[in-house]
Amino acid sequence: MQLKAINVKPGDKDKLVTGLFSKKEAAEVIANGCRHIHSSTLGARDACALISREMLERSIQIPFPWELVKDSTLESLRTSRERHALIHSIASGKKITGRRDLKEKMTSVLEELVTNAIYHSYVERDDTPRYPRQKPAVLADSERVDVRYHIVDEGIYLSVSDRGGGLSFSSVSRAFARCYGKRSEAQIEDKEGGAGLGLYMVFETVTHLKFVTVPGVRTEICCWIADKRSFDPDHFSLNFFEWREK
Amino acid sequence: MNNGERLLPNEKFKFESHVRGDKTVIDLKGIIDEDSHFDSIRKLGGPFIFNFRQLTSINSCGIRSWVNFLKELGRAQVFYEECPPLVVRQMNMVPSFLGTAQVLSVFLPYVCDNCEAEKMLLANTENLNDPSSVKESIPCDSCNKGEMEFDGQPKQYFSFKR
Repeated sequence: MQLKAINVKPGDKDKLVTGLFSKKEAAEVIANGCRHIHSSTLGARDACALISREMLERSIQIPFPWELVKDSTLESLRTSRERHALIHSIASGKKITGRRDLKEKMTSVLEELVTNAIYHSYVERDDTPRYPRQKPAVLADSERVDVRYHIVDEGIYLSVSDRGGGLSFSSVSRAFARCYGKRSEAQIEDKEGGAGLGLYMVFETVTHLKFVTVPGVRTEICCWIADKRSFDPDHFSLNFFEWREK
Repeated sequence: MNNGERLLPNEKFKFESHVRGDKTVIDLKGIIDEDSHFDSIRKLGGPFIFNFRQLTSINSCGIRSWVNFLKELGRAQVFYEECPPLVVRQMNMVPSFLGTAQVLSVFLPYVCDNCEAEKMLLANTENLNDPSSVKESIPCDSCNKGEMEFDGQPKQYFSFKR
């Protein structure tokens, strides 16, 4: 994949890229190894971009404005079959009634993130998935998937976390290179397991996407889905933070 | 036991079939995911018209199952009709979800700027060769005060037609 007019070299993983991009252009940057990109008419002065810069320079965790939600609801699940009931329950909530577009986006994003968390985050020592995608999964006692959500007029905050920590940046960048680089059946992985489309579909749908992973310990993926009234196609971000336990 | 555990795989996805002229019409219902199998549809024989009106969800593994199913249909003619926005979104994101199928009609989503009522208008795609011909707004027949605006960007919504 070729870079277009964006000065990022493979390996510039902690470089913060700001500007005005399409999702496809942003995905090209990510496919080349850059982990932090913000698209906004404000460029480097965008509030979320400033927070990313602060986090990278000081190696500290600061929530983005869209993460500052009060009274979010926490649900935990331990089986693959529970996810349908959970998603149905959130989609049937009073605050999302009559908001078809938001409900469909939330359902799609949650389905992909929760399914990934159940089937791909818990791996054996040889990195093979502990729970094969073809079968219903029941997680071990020490394992679970936590879903946190909050619905307001401006949009939906979602967070899905696991205790496996199996998600690597390379799997995100490979998925983006494949899905944005090819507009054919080659977008889809034909191996056992997932179709390799989930993270692409999530990135296409959400406004802000943040990965926080502690390898081998836990992964949290949180995102903001803007309601159509506050949706701005030029304004979005993706950040992939990898922390080590001290 | 919660609702999810009572939900057997074959209860999530259903279809009904009938004949229209020389074509087999398949009404798809529910969720298409990794548990969905389409062998019994393939055996009915084409040409096929797939009606997506009652499809409620499709995930990434469901897209893969569907794309593989389309491949298995070989040269059978395939038509899509009454595609709701969630299906249009998949056609735009993953072009092989559409493959060589011809889209007969799609639902256009509108939402009222006053009372937030939503409405779906069915449009034949042959009448929509130019996305700019999509009505940007229509009068709201729910509150009779506001205008219902097209819920999306027409150019983006019809990018599957490129």
